[in-house]
Amino acid sequence: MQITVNSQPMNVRSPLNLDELLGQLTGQHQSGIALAVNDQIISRSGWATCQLQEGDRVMLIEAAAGG
Amino acid sequence: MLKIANKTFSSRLFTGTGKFSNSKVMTDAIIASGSELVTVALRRIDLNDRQDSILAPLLAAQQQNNINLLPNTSGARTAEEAIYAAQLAREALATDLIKIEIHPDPKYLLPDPVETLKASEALSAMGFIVLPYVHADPVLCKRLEGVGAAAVMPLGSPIGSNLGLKTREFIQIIIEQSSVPVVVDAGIGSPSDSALAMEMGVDAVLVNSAIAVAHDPVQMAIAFKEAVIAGRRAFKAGLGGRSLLASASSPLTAFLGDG
Repeated sequence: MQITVNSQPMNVRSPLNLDELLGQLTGQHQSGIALAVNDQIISRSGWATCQLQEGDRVMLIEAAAGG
Repeated sequence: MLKIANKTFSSRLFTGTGKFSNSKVMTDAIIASGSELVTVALRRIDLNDRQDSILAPLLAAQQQNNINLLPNTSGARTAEEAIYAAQLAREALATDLIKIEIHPDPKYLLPDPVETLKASEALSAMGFIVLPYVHADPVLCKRLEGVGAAAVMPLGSPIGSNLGLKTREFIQIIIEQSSVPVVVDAGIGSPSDSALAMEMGVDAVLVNSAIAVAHDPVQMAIAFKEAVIAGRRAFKAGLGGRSLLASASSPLTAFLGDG
């Protein structure tokens, strides 16, 4: 199915949950990350049960250097 | 000890993670500074360029060095964006601390007071420990206190300018009137600037650029650490008054003339 991740279109298998998507994208579980789907923040405890749908917009945020 | 909401700090020097040439220098400088509150920003993960987290060495050092992370909302242009950023930060870093930083104009990076006040009120109500970054406006600082800010963070001069305490007289007024801790943030360019701020009675200073862009950031971090301690000690020791007139420190008796 087609989704966008950080505004980039991406074709992924279905069914796919957030936890699986993250594993695919970042290779390993990292701390310091937040996820939102269609502007709704999904807390870490909900990643494995959040099933992605066609057209979903996923945003991946991490802590970065800054003042 | 400095208390902000339910957090206590034995260091009154807060630091930032931006502008360092590499992660190792950043981590070494922050640890050398003795800082217990360190700001970080948020960004979208770049899927095409998966670099190791810049923060990984700092996060590793967190435990032994009693470092609290303070995420900021830099990048937000409105209260709504800042509120969203704060929620993302809380998720990512498991902290209620948030520095509200809303500065849409890239030339001077001055904080938007209206959006900052709105965001502070909303985020306080949502249980965040709000530290708003603002101009040294005493009226605004009282309003922020009124909507639940845990501290106020008036600027000394524009971010990264290293111009020091251009807002000195207004910081003085804020100190006099504030019931919450006052943290001077932005523009502190030298250890002497930070010592001066502490001598005036500010509760803490936040220094990023002046350490990060120094020729030797680790040594500069130590210098700042020492300056903040000295300034605070001087404040508590009670500085003598100033005068244009001289006041002799040695006796004036003429012992060298005829008897």
